[in-house]
Amino acid sequence: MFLVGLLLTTVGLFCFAASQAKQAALMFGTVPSSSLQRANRGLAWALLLGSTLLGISTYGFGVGLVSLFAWVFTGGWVIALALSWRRRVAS
Amino acid sequence: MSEQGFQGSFRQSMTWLHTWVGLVLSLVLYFMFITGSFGYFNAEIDHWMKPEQVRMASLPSTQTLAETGLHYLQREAPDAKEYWVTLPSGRHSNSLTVYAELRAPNAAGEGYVYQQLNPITGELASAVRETGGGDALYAMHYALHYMPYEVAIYIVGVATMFMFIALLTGIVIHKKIFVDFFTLRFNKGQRSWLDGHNMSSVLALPFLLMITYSGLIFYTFDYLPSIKVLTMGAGEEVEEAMEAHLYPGSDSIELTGEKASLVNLSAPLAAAESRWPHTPIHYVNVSNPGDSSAVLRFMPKSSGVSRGSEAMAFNGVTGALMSDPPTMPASAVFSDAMMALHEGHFANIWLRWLYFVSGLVGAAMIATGLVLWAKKRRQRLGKRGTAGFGLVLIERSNLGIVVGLPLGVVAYFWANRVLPVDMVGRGEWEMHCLFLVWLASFFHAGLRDLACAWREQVGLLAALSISLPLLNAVTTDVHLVATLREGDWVRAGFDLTAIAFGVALVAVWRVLPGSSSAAVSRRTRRTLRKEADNLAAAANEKVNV
Repeated sequence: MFLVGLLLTTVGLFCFAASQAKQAALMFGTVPSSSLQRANRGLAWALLLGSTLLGISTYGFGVGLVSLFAWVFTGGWVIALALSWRRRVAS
Repeated sequence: MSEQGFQGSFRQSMTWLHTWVGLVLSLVLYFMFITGSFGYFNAEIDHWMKPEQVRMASLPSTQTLAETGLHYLQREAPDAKEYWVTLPSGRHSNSLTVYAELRAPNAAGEGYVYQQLNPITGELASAVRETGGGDALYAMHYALHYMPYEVAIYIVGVATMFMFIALLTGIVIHKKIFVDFFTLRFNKGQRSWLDGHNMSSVLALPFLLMITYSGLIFYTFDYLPSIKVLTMGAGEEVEEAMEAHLYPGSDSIELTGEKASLVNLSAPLAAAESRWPHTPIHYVNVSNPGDSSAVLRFMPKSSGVSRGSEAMAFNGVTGALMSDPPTMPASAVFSDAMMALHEGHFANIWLRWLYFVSGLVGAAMIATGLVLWAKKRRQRLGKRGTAGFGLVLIERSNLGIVVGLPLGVVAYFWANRVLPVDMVGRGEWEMHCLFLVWLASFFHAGLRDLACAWREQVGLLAALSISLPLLNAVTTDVHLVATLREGDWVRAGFDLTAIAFGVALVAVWRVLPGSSSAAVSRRTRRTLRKEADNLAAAANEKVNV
């Protein structure tokens, strides 16, 4: 369940990055339309909320919240490094 | 960064505060983060540093273990005030720890008896080499070293408060916290250091806030004694009353003077185990052992965000239940939860790794902040400006801090394998090795050309890390191949982590300024940029034509 939570959070953060013009341009080469950006942002929050609920229902409130922070931390680094690599390739 | 102090706008003032509170005690903070991060694997490091320690395939029952510990204490410390037996479980499955608080100092002048026993034989685990182990590394993050504990906790407290202020002001001054959430640009000089600093602090922010705030909670009454004095008064009685309030059921019991033997553990233990069916009993405590007023307590291993302070108390002679776990006041529950979050005993292996990595990222945040400060000042000087003594000192100290401390920690592990096994004061000498190597790294940074010194120290750190498993193989029987074959993942994991750490450092070493590969890559980039410029110029000409 820990890895499922990590996956959900990472995908949520990916959607979050895709909802931002600068990061989305790096990922897809073009800036998505504002409606698509909004949809990505909505999906991102839904996935992050899902992983929060998963963490809390599996591990209880305290440990669940700590697990969520850990997932955000790991997923965030993965996306940041991937974007950094994309930036390098693009340049 | 702002030089206007508190004279500028709010954000400028906060930038100034962020810079200086982060910088002033950065050495202490970096030390706390590095050693504290290792603390999350103290039991595992202990296991690696005691190669003679045998892995326990299966342990006796809880009752047998508790009786083994108590029998030892009854034999060695018959006139004690209190007995504590820590049962092996989970990560601490190799030893049975016994402790007795004596009523009067023994022949050696000590007021206690403390031993680690073999959980199966009940004999002293004396065949194991003397070492500071993971616990010594862990303890340094709050008690420092070479100084009285009372002084250390105040230095640590001030540093932690500074860290907390730096975090809060960092949130205020970081304008584009969401826009820059994933921004990490390499090979952009100062910009890359700032990105690294922002990334390490923003992504680990919940951890950093939690670890800093909960760190302050540990010593609340030492840091703010006025709260206690003003609300409850001063004196020993007040201390006892407060203990009784915060930890109900722990108040001391008067001796009757009548001799009585301890009850058979089976019935009280069964009652405690049925009270906590999913959590193993971790501590057994006896107050006033050998007296008719004896009280027997069982405490479970901490589960969830709690340190497991709850206990079931039984009459130590009759075995009758005295009290169920008492209800703790809200303040005690809160501080207990904060401390549990800080220590992370509840964490499974994945979460434990993330605690460890988050701690190292916290250290990276401090390191990038230090380097960034020096880089900004160097940039302001321009190419022709001469750096003052202060900037040179900080640039060189940065190397001693950032790379020197990890070098010292690796030297600590090397010392564990290199120092003679029967050496007197061996554990303390391991620690001396850590600090001597750390000190040497400051001297080296001061004497050598700075770019060369960075390369040499990072190279040395990589070499020492990668060769640690080789040294282990040469000096002990528990080498990587053997531990992998036996499935001893704790020792194998230590060796593999050392190799991975070393390999990562080799990658860093290759891109450090002055290294041949970095020079090649810079040359290649320059050539490519020139070619791109030429192509762009040619395209422009075509368009114009």
